[in-house]
Amino acid sequence: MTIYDHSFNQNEWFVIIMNIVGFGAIFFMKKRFSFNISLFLVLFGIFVGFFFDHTISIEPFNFYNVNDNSSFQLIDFFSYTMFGPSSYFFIYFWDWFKIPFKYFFFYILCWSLFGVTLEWFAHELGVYHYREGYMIFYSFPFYPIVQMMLICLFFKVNQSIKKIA
Amino acid sequence: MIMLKFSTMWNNKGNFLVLSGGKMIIFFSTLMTLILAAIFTFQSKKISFVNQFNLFFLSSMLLINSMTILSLNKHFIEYTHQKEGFFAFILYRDGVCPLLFLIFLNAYKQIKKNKVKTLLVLGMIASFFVIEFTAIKAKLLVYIHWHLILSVLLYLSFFVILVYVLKFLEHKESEEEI
Repeated sequence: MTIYDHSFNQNEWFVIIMNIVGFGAIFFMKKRFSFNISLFLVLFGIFVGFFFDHTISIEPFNFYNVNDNSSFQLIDFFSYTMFGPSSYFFIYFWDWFKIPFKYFFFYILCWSLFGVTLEWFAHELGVYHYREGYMIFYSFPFYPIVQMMLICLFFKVNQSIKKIA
Repeated sequence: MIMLKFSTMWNNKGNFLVLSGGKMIIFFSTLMTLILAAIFTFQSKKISFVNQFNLFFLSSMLLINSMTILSLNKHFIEYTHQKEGFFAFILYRDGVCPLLFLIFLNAYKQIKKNKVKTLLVLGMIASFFVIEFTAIKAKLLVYIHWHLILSVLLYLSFFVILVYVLKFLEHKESEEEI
């Protein structure tokens, strides 16, 4: 097992603050979606975090470790839940500002850059420890792919609700 | 050529699928995922579209967390470290198992009689037993301090959790409709 540090320090605080700010914002901002759709948007982000991290951050790839050591800790769990609010707000602002189609790629690019910046911060604070030559630039393509998938799924979910209505 | 490939599946050392190579494992796990996806697509559903996704995400997260804890922290199980086998393992963890949960949850919602519901749960236990057994034989999973029955009990507990989550989601849905 690889150990990076033993103490409760900046990486844990980063994860806790991101969770409080993210979920606090979901709770206090005006509701635009039903409970089940909001849950879908939050779960999508968390699921994607879990899926990619538990695929490329474990053997045989093991491109990075999360937080204080290479085992799975409680704080690691919360470092995936912080992806939930970002996927929620990605759709929230998309729906709120009624982004025209011509700005679709620009909107995705902005969110991808925001995601990479947050990941860079997290890396600097010791949330992610890259291994095997992995670099933050390799993470960049994942963001637009996942965001496009989320938009497609959101449209599909909305369509199904309109059909029922 | 095809006959030769298939004959290697039933190797006399008893290592089903392993000696036929990683490609065979990928082929079978993809086939299994597609079959389950087809069953799920064509079965009649009483669960709303958005809740299907919510349940899929939840079941997948439960499986990911449990498998990571059992392997990384507790060292009770080990998953394959071969790249080809690992792809099959990902399909098993995030495709086959969550789809099985969804298929049985949809069927569970259709049935009203308790006796039939019990039979369905028994059928689900048997399905997970067979699928987990195949995963072990294909060396996608290796048990160190673990047992097949414990895995099946774990899946059963996940199913119970998902049934209650579904009840809660449907309650919320009907509340918002009013």
